[in-house]
Amino acid sequence: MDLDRMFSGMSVSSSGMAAERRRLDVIARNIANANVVATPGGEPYRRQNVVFETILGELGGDGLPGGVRVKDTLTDHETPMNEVFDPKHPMANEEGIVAYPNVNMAFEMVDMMTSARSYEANMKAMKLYKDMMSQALTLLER
Amino acid sequence: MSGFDIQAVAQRIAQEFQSVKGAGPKTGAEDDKGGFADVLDKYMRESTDLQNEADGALNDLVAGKNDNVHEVMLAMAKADVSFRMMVEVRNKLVEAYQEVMRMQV
Repeated sequence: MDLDRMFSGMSVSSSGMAAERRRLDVIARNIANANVVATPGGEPYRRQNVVFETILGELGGDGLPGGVRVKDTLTDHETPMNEVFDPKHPMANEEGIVAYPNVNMAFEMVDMMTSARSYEANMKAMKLYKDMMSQALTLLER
Repeated sequence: MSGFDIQAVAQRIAQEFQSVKGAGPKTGAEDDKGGFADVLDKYMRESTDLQNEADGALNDLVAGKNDNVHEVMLAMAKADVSFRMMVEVRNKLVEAYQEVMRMQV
């Protein structure tokens, strides 16, 4: 559609918001699974992280960097598991240690706030874009 | 939502502008395709397309095919702005037409 080009900036913000939403989904998953010691695979849950990438030229129209999308959801194998000594736990090993997920609640909270703020910033950009167009429309009024 | 369709209105207005154009004195420029009525007609079609898109996005959201609320809002904002732009252009055209009609001969 030809008129769609008018809204290219809004599409960029929209893609940013969609990506932040995906990130929040993954953070929510991390928080919800923070105490899961046995996933269907038998392993404790591992923290997950999203990676964003720029969509080049698709949304910008003139080859400028366009929007953003979630490239991949990666599993954190670096951070060590949270080991708790609890010999009575059914999932405890021979030494009585239970491996809890490597989810740090404080980190997740900070990530969550970052995500929410980014969503807000994209929202603001989109709103401003719309306001600018509305301003231009008032040129015709007398 | 789906009952609202400005396509018919758009065609009607385009026809009226065409007839106004035809009623005037022949200037020899009748044949050129880039008349204002055509431009306005195109605007209206685009605006209708965006409104249909917004309708579709809303239906998708309600049907659970899409879970991004902001995309629906974006589609609706697009439809809103394009419709208002079309209305502004049309208002200006009608204003100019009325200005000419009021002119003392």
